[in-house]
Amino acid sequence: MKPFECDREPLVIEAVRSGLWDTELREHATHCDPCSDAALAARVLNEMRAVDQAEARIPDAGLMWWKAQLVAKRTAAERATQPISFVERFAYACGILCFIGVCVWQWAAIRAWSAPIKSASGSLRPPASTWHLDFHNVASLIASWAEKAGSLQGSSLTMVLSVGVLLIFVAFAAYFVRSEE
Amino acid sequence: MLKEFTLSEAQHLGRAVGAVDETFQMDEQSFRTFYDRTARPLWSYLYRSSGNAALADDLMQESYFRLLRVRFPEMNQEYMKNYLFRIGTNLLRDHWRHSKVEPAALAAPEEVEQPRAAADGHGEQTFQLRSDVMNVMKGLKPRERELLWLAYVEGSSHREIAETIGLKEQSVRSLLFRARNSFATLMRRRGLGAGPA
Repeated sequence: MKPFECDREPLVIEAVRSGLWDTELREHATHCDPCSDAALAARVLNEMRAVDQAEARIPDAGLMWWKAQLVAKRTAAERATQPISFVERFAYACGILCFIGVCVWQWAAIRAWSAPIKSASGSLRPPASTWHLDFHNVASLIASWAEKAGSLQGSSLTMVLSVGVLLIFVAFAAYFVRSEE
Repeated sequence: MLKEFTLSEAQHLGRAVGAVDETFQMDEQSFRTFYDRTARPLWSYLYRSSGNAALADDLMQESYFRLLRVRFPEMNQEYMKNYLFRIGTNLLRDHWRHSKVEPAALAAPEEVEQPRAAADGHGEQTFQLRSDVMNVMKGLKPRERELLWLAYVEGSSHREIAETIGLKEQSVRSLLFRARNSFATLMRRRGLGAGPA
């Protein structure tokens, strides 16, 4: 078995790295197994390093400094706005929970509101035969919808309008958020 | 892959965070000096450990970004260099862990990039040497590659290697012995081991 290491190994490695050998050390490295292996590894790897030194495309120090500053500023800005985004997310979560809570709590009232809409929409549904595209049929269908929509109860109509307005607001909000991003 | 900024992004960022005061411990001149001294060795280390030039570019950049944010008790260049290599080693490990790429899977010789400056006849010889050694390196474990590079190229002591790689000094001694043995055996098997000098 080969010996674990040799005391002269650091000298051998240094000689390989500097290229300055003395005869006695070279002789030793030829006969000592650990030193011979170390010299081989050091020689080959340092040759590879020389290749890399010549070929590596390292960015300029000034560019790296500038980028590091930008990254640091971005990190600092993210850190500074972290509480705000946390509160935002917390507010969204609270809003959703409140909405679900109100829905559960007022479920009976919601059902009562939606009942007239359901019945109206059921009566608004055209007979299967009118689904064939025919301009006369479409015109008469729109007229009958308008007539029946007028028969919706006041509270249900308010709710439908509110939902419509809410959807328009949500669409605008989404548009502005996206454009800011 | 490279975290490049476009000019518009930079301007936008500059406007957005112009008021944020973020200073580094190091000034620009000290950084330039330190960078010029350490960038190529670090790139070589990352490239030889990973076998991927693009990855080495990315990790080198990220290593400096992280180093600049560290507050050192004293601005000792040697200590900072070792710390930089430690950051690079950890980033490399993180990359392997997250990308789920087999770390030992270095590029096969035919996939090894042609030398970037291989326009002359010397380039072919360089390419051959690179292919041969890459094949040998491929046979080693990632940690063995790191150990060998730090010990025989950077000339780091066992204690410095232990700090960089996150091992005990005694473990470095035995692991380095094994890595060196494996490397020398693989080299000689390929007929590349010819004497100490």
